Amino acid sequence: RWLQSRWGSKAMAARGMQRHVINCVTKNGKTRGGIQRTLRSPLVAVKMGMTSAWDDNGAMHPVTLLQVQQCQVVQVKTEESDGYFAMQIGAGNKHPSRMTKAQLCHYQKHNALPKKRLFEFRVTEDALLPPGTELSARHFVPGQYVDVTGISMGKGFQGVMKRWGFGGQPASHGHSLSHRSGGSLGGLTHCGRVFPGKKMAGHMGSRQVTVLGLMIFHVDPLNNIIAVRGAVPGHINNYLRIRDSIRLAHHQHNMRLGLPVPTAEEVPEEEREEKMALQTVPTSFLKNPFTYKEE
Amino acid sequence: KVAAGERSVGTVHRGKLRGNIREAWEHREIERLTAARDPSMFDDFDVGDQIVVRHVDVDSPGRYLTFGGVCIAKYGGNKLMRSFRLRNHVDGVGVEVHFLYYAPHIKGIQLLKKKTRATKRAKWYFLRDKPPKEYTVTWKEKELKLPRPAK
Repeated sequence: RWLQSRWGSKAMAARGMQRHVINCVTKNGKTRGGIQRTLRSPLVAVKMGMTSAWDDNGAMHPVTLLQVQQCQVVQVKTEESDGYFAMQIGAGNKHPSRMTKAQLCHYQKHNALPKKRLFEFRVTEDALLPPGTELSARHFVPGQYVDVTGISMGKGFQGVMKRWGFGGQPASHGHSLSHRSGGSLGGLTHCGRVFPGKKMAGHMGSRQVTVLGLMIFHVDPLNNIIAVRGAVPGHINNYLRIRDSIRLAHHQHNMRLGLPVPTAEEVPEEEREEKMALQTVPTSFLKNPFTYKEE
Repeated sequence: KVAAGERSVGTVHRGKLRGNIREAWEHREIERLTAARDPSMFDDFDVGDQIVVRHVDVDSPGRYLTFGGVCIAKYGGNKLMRSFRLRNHVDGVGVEVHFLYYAPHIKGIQLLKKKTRATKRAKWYFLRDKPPKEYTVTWKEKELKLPRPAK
């Protein structure tokens, strides 16, 4: 009777959040059956906009451009010092004159440049990097699946029809003053109250949203841009967290591709031209929508 | 560093994208798609001209199809989604086809006849209300200099 989800607490349920992903890689890198998998560090990127991309089959795909801007490992947390393995990653260089001495010392201590935003990510021990390491778009491989997390676009105070998808009431036939309202709030005899989490009008958007299972279409190492197939939450110039997909099927697909653990190596001068060229997803990963099945 | 007045414009300089990144990416895509096609097979055309487009048959690869007609509209200017619309009267039915100019499945565009009407319009939607003979376009396969599929 509570708006209670099977997996979450009442507080989470009250906000209408449910966790649907069952077959996934957990925060510790474990999957069903207790198998330990490698959790690489996610990256922080900025949403640049959306365009279209054509593949070799001739089909068109919507892609979102994400630019990895000055992503650097700032602090590394280990089992001995903090009790868990994690990396603190900074994104976007910031002028030292705009930072407090305490903040500057934090960056100096870990050999990193002052950053605009800091994010902490849980990783497994084999994916740890030394502090000060620069992360680039080569961390990801075209054809792999990623999850993108960001703050969704704010919609302000919205009514129940837009916010929760309610049906409203008919426009005519005598219905007075309540065409878009929520209708009844519940019963009287059995409960006599309104349940916590009852869907009502209120602030919509500007919440953290994760989109699972997006395929990486292009990786542009020279400009540190990742083109991801589909849409991601938030507005342009929004900070996004890109991580390897936690869905088990996608994780297995990524393993078969061979992702660079802990991150891609630096490219020497001789191989620079070929390694820094634009990489596209192999055609074998894309379904040809034009083939006609004879019945 | 990009000057303050030019940050909204995207440019590609020796592989590096500057300014408006999305716009610069699209410019680079346009260059890549244009470089991949034979420039002699693509004629310039304007609204009102009679054009023939040869494109790959998506259902049967290795086979080319041709569609021709009067160009009644051009969209997108210099952008990646630049497109145009052709209208023709085929088998007793008026047909309009919207083509994306930079689509990789378009193999050639040939100009048959420049516009003869004195109308100065950017879009020729008025042809939809005109009798079919105003927008019927016919051609002979021998006159076309468009690519043919390799056997």
